Amino acid sequence: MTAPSSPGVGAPVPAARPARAAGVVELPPLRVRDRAPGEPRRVAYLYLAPAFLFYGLFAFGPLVYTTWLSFFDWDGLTVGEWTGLDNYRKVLSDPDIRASFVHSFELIVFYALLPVLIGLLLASLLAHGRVRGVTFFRAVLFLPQTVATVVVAIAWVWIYAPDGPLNAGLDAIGLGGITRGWIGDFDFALPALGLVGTWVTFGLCLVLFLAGMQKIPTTLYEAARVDGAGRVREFFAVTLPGLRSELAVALTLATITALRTFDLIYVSTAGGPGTATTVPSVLVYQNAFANGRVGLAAAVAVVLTVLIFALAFAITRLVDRDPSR
Amino acid sequence: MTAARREQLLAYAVLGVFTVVALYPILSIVALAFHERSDLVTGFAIPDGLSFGTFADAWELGSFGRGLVNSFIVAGSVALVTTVLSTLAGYAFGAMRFRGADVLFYLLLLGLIFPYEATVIPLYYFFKDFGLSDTYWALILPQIGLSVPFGTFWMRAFFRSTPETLVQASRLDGASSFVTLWRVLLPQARPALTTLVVLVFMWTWNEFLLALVMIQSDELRTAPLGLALFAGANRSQDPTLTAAAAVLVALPIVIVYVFLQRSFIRGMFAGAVKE
Amino acid sequence: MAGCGGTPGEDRPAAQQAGTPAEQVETDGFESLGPVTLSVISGEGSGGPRDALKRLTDEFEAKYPNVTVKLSFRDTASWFKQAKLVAASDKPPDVFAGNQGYQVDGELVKAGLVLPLDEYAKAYGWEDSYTPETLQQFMWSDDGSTFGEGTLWGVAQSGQSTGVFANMAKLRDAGVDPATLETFDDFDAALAKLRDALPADEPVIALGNKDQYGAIHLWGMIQGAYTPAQDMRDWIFHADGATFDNPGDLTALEKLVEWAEKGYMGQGDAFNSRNDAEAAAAFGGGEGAFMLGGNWNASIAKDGLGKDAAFFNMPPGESGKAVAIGSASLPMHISAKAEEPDLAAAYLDHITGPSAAEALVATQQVPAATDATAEPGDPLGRQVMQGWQQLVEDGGLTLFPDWSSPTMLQTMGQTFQEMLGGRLAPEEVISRTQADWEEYHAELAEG
Repeated sequence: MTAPSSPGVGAPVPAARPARAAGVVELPPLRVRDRAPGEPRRVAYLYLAPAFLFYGLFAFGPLVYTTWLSFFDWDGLTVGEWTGLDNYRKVLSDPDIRASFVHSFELIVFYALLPVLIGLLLASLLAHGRVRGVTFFRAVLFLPQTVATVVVAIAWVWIYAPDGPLNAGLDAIGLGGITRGWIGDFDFALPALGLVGTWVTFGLCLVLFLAGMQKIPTTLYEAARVDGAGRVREFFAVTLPGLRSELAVALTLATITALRTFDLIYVSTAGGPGTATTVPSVLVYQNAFANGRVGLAAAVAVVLTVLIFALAFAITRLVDRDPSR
Repeated sequence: MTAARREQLLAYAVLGVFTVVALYPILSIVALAFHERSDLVTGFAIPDGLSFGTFADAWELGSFGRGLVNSFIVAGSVALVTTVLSTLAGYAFGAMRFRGADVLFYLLLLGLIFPYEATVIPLYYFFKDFGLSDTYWALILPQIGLSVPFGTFWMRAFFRSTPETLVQASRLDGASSFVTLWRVLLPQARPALTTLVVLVFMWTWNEFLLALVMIQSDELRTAPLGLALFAGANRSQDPTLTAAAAVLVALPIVIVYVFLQRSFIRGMFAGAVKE
Repeated sequence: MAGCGGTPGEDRPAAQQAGTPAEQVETDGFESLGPVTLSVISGEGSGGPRDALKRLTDEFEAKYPNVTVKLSFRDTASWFKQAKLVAASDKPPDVFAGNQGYQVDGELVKAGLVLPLDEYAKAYGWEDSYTPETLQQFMWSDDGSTFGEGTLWGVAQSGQSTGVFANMAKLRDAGVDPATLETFDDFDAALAKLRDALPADEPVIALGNKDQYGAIHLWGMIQGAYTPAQDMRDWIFHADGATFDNPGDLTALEKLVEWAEKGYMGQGDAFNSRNDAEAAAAFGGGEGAFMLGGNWNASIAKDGLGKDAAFFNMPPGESGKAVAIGSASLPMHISAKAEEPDLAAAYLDHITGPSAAEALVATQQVPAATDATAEPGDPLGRQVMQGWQQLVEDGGLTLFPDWSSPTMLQTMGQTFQEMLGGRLAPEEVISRTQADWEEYHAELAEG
């Protein structure tokens, strides 16, 4: 055993944290350090400086500049022109831009809700189903997360092709009537891509939940069993509450992925057919680099960022309410 | 058959179904890639034989050797530098007290969740104005900046979990903060560090949007970008070639994953990421 | 970076100014340059154009052994989106394709990213090789605001028109003889006959609209039956008072919808899942009786169907004149940052001038140079060339509608897709297209 088993950090952990550091005298159980030892050290700033330099220069700074750009009408090549909140007005009023945000929300269902449900199911089976080969299953089910999105897009475009395996499979089981060019179809293109997102994300949820389940003390299960709870009750009464923080993380990460998704869409449909699969990130790229409307692209990017912050905040608030706080 | 046994079989069945679902898309392009280039591929496209010729063609035609080297250079640099910087910063957050710690930390947390799309536009013009667009720097520097939030968060979690007494003892011995870090804490950090390096490497390797915007020349294309352009040009007439190229690009990370998945996933366990 | 609060773009350095080649341009003697590399990006990465350019490039390298040409191909639709980015990068390719019109070429000229070619035109005699209508497509005022006059900025290889590719075997089986199709109405009736003859799951017309321009080209042939070509050209060149909102264009849209509803292009909208090149490959593989598209796909049709491949212009409407979308192919430009512009110009001349005719004709293309002497060696190639020549004679080349504004390709592409999907009425397509045009027209007027 190498790294000390550290629980999730951040929020105050319930006082019953096992101080299991290798070979160290058990100290009286303190709250996990949310204060570092000793007096305040100024040298800390020195340690922080390099990281913050890069962060400020290449991440946070650009974010601020994007916001600045959103107040201009600029084609990227010549001089820009101040237009104040015009671009934001366009974002709110243009039906195509609004639709792109709606599409993003649809994707959240596929990227976050479905994988969470699947992850919960599979994690339960692996943790409590008395199956052998947990490591194997975990490794295989996580595999989609490691494949480059471009490759994922290419693989799934093939699967969804009019003469591809999905239609072949449907034909084989007698459902030939519903075969079609899935990603060229106005109604099905977005759900089809959403399912790809589900495929990519469920492994992440699985791993997170498995980790979380490991930390739920078995005593709680025993207690539930004594109370006469069956599998299902156990799940809702013990497992789910115990997975609160992991649920928050999974939902947040997956929601952010859904809202940010660019690679998959760009490589598979480029936002088509029509605007059926256009999402904000595609709009940002198209407008900034293809259509010469940089200010508008910046505005879309800013709105997207604000949305992500708001959702992340909301999810954490709603889901991760620690009852012992 | 007992209820327990039935349950177990059901569990295997469900897991089995999802295993197939997880593997099938990957296997399908592998199957495509093993076809001859001239084969007409439809449906399940199970190849008659295993033809490696298509891979060789894809390698050459798409200059993927170059692309993989570029990806390796970029991902490797980003992973290493990020880990170093994150360790330093995480040490400060996790083992020291200082004014503004909370504010700075929340500022950094923002970096975990905001989209790259919000930064590419200024980054593109910034690098262009300095004559650095279309260089490795244009990919490495921003991705360090964008990966440092996660890295710091990760290492902070590690440092917070190390026992206070270790640090205190070292302090009492008169060791400077750096010596404490180097001699006392880092030796214990290997798993956390390894996981961080691998994760950042993988995420940087797979990064597409940044490469699409920053890199215009052929020589500096990273593998995913090269693949996307290659696929665009060849997908219609040469699906097997495109599939072979895709397999080539995905392979390095998958191999790394297969060998390291134990420590990879265990590392994620140990520092269970949390807001 | 444009300051932390400055207006973006105001401190663009002089790097953006167009370089001017020396008054005295060199047209030979490049051997003395020593080892030198010329980088080239072509926007036509499939079929005949790709093969021809490879062959011409090899010839050029053989002519100048010290020159290495780094040639790469991009697929057309995404190239239109990336061309400006690539041209504006620090090390752009020396020679690259643009696209006529305001989306690409206009922007390239406006930003000073390409070199003026008047001197080279004089030195190589391009004015003698190309008709004024052809050269007009590459001319812009120096500020990139007026299209069709001013300085010459590019030159192209071939004449690209759209027309009807036919699978003669299928036509014979269904009892349809192209020689009897003399009017557009005849063609319309033939479609109905073929729809009955072919199996229900096979389209009559192989279409690929994933990149959103296949359907526009198809429509252009229908439009030709109802609207004079000059009207379209006036609209593209932003003549005051030109409008897309006219009965002819509306009728053409409605006819297109009618064809889709009758299943001529296949069931549902499977054509949205594949692009132009993929549809050509399918047609070459035996799908459908017709392919209504560009002659740049001729070699794909020939490779697949052999002797059964035929080409003819869409039979005319009431005017009796052949009218269809068509123009010179993508113009090739010299980057403003090219280190050896004279060498680049020599390459341009080699791939476009009379010397290129052989390679073009061998791939069933039509040389844009009028003094080209090469004759197509195969029947399909001859038919393609005849189609082009007929259109030129009838003054029927409407050029490409998406040239008319930087966003027009997206506007028309999307609205056409939605119309064919039954989600948008033809009147809506017209009003949105015209609105895009009006908006840009106003911008141009402001100057």
